[in-house]
Amino acid sequence: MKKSRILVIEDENLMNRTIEFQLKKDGHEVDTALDGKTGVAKIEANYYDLIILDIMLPYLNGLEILAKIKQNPERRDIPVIIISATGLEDTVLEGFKLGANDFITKPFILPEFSIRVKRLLMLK
Amino acid sequence: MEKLYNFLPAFIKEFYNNHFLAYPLIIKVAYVGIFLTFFVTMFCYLLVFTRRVVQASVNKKAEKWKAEIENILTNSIIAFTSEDYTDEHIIEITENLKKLPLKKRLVRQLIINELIFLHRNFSGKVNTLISRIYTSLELQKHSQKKLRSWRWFNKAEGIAELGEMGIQESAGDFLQYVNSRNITLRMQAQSGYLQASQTDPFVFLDYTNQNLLTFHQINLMDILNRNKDIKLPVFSKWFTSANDSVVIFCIRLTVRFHQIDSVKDLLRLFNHPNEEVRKEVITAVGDLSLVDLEQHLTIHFRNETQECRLEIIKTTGKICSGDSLNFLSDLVFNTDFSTRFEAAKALKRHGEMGEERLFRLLETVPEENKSVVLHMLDTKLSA
Amino acid sequence: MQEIWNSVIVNYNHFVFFFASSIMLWYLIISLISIREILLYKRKNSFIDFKKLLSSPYTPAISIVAPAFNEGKTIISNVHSLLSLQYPRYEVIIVNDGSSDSTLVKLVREFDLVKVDFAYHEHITTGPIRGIYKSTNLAYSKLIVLDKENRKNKADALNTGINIASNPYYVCCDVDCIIDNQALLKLIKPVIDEEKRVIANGAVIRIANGCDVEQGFLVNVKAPKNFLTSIQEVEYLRSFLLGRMAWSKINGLIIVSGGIGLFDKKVAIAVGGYDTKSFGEDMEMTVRMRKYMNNLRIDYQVKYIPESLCWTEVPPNLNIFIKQRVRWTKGLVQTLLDHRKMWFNSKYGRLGLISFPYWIFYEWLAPLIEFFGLLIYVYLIVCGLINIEYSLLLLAFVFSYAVMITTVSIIWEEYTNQVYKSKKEIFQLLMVVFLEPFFYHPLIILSSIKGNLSLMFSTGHQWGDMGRMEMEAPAQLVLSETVSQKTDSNGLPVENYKLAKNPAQTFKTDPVPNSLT
Repeated sequence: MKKSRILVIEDENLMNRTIEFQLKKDGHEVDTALDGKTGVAKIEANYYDLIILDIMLPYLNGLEILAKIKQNPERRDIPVIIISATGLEDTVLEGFKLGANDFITKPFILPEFSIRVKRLLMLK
Repeated sequence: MEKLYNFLPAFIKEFYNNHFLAYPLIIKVAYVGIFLTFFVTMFCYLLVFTRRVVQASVNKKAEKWKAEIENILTNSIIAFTSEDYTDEHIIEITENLKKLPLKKRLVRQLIINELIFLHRNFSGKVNTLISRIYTSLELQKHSQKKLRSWRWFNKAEGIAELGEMGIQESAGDFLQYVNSRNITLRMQAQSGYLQASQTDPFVFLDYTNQNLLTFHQINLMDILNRNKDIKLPVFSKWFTSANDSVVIFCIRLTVRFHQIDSVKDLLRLFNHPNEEVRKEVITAVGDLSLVDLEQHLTIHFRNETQECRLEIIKTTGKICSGDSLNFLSDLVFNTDFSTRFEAAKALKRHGEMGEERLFRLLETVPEENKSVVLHMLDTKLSA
Repeated sequence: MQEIWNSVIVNYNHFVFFFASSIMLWYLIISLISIREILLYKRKNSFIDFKKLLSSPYTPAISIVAPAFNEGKTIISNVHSLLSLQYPRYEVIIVNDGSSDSTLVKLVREFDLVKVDFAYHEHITTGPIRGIYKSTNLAYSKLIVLDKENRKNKADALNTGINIASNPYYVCCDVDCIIDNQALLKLIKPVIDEEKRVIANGAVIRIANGCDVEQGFLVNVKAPKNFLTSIQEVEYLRSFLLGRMAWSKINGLIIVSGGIGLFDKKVAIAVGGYDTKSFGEDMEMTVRMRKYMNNLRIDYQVKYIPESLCWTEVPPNLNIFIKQRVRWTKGLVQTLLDHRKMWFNSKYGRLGLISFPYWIFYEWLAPLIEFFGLLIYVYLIVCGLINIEYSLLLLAFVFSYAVMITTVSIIWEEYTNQVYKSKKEIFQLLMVVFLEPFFYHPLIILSSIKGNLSLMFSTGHQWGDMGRMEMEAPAQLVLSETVSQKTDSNGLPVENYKLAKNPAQTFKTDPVPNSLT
């Protein structure tokens, strides 16, 4: 099976690395971005099978990036998982309204996270 | 003083005896002032320069250590996400970390910081693994030392670390600070106790006679949201507390953890003398969707303060039983803008039946009251 | 006759001497208090995770109110940056103050705005509004654009913004300012963790001239290169870092800047919003809010946090600079005179007994006293009535003292924040400190006198009209300098607003206290 390409946009370095390690261990190909702007540039330049997005990002808000992805006809179908420290109802709802495929609140369980990723990739 | 005088070079002595002493007082002061300010300024320059240099080298080292710590930790965490870890694994990880110069305070602090970060962001097995690493490196000793410091910010930091890692043996030490006049220390003591005490984590609420500020409550809520295994008591126990902020906090907790059985006690608080408490009760009725109490609220509406009235209107909008449609429609005629705005908003929340009311109101309300109805009927605003 | 004259001069000289000494002592006290307070603030916040506030429903919601007048060039990127601040629940209200350029058109196009039936209610009486817009794009649901007729009045624009704000706190800022990503979090913190009610909270304003700005985000903080702006940076640092912090500690702060400041909306509406007739509406408003709370006998605080949260462009040339300072002086004097009942009034506690006397003597009158002092000095030298050696010594002392205080503030900023990457920048600023008393200080005195004169020669009733004229005048001046003579029938430039801003509005953060005398 072809390796899936995943982009992780998350500003906390340690978090970013941990997710990256976990996904690599699960056999995916991983690309990372530490801020919104780099993230968007990468999304525009490459094709990913899945995007993992933190909401609170410097420069560009995660929800804005999500809207951008979903407005782009070529990128619209990429599943997006949102990770956020915010479990606020409004934010979660807004995320789903904008077309997020899954929403994970920090703190989270890593194995659960990797199953969610696998499930989304399979659905695709 | 005389000794000092003898050390001075000859030309200064000469100046001092022949000129300085003869000056008027003001000029003397000015002379001394010039020298003092000159030295302070020079000292500042020196400070900025040395600090830049020292800081740069410390940062460089810290970067290096941090990278190493992160490497070890991420690798070990990922290794145990799919399989269970054993004591040997913990020993292995600690051995790896012990290769770093743990004797250095900075290194220990860096490790603690990283562990705390991971502890906050991951739950499940990883979470307990992190705590185990912390204790097997005996880092709690480092944190406990801070607790004994005479400076409040060291204490607070120590409490924060011990609390996050759930070191139960220290929990008792935190209690003495829950009424501290220092807001930050007080907050850390409360949240530290909540995290660390396994027997009765909420006991500090009995002792708190200081105001439980919003930020304190946010902190405690945050901990409860993150640590799912904290034992929850029945919060209505504190509804009779003399500390109103504790009462408010416990109402919020009752809502947060859906302690529906406490409704009777909640009811008693409707007559609380403090407006804020009553407002919180009304909010709780809405958040818990207590349909039975809706009537009660609308009857009390007239006797309430403006703040609580607005809250009652919002609550009926949250419950959406349909029982309050007449009540709300009447309020749209109100002369007070906020009242009619919230009333129209509550109607809007009722979905179709509310909207129908709004359309009907559009024909009956006076011209100046129409704006709120139109606002709610504008589909572009509801998004 | 001659004798009386001489005794007047001598007495005045003594008076100036004591006055100057008291100012110096005051600065010393203020610096020490501030240094302590800043240290305390840093400690308090060093181990607190601001992100906790992000996930809580109990974090108070905030409305950002940002008036925009002819900001077409930068509006899009600035609004984007305002929309991506870190905060759980907030709205961004852009008040388009009847811009004659493409500001509104650009906003509508970029953010898919549509006109909505927003229920506008005049809690505060304002000029007429033309429409309220919201985005059809969910990602911009936080944005509200309010289009109003131009009154050439920032206070009026702010009031309209407050009228539609739906949250209990509002943050006012200039739309062309660059706001720190965490600004809202840091501004709200004192509100929720102080025992007393916080009705307003301000933060450090820094100078954006010279910084690398990319799409409304500050990429690199750099010290300004231009001499005038460098000096202003030094002055801002000193007054914000050393001055305000101490005032906050003694709860005597009477100004929260319009550049960035958080206010309790209820109190703001209760006092009737910003005064449209004021030259310094931010200071005036703070004073009125305090007065209101004092009259109600509610315990309250006006806070100030030592964080650089807002970067603003300051006048890069002398002409605009002097205009700005003249305005500040007028705003200051006007506010002080409007509230003269509070002077030395023990009913207002520290406000009446410390804050007002300070602003009257050290901010308003000091430049005037200094000016007359200088005149007499020259007279004495001409008449040969003075001991040149002594007076030079005294001058040297004042100079070295001024240098010390300013140096301390720069070093302290460097010590606590370290925003400048290179040593060179710091030393460049430190050099400027030596030149400030010679080149910059006279300018301040000059503008102060100009401001006082211009107020004196207009009767009280005309202040309001003056306000509008004053705001128009510099705009035309700049336009005639920079824009080609292409105008439409109304005499307004058709396009090509090169400096498409009203400088009086743009450079309207707030008065930085005058420097040392």
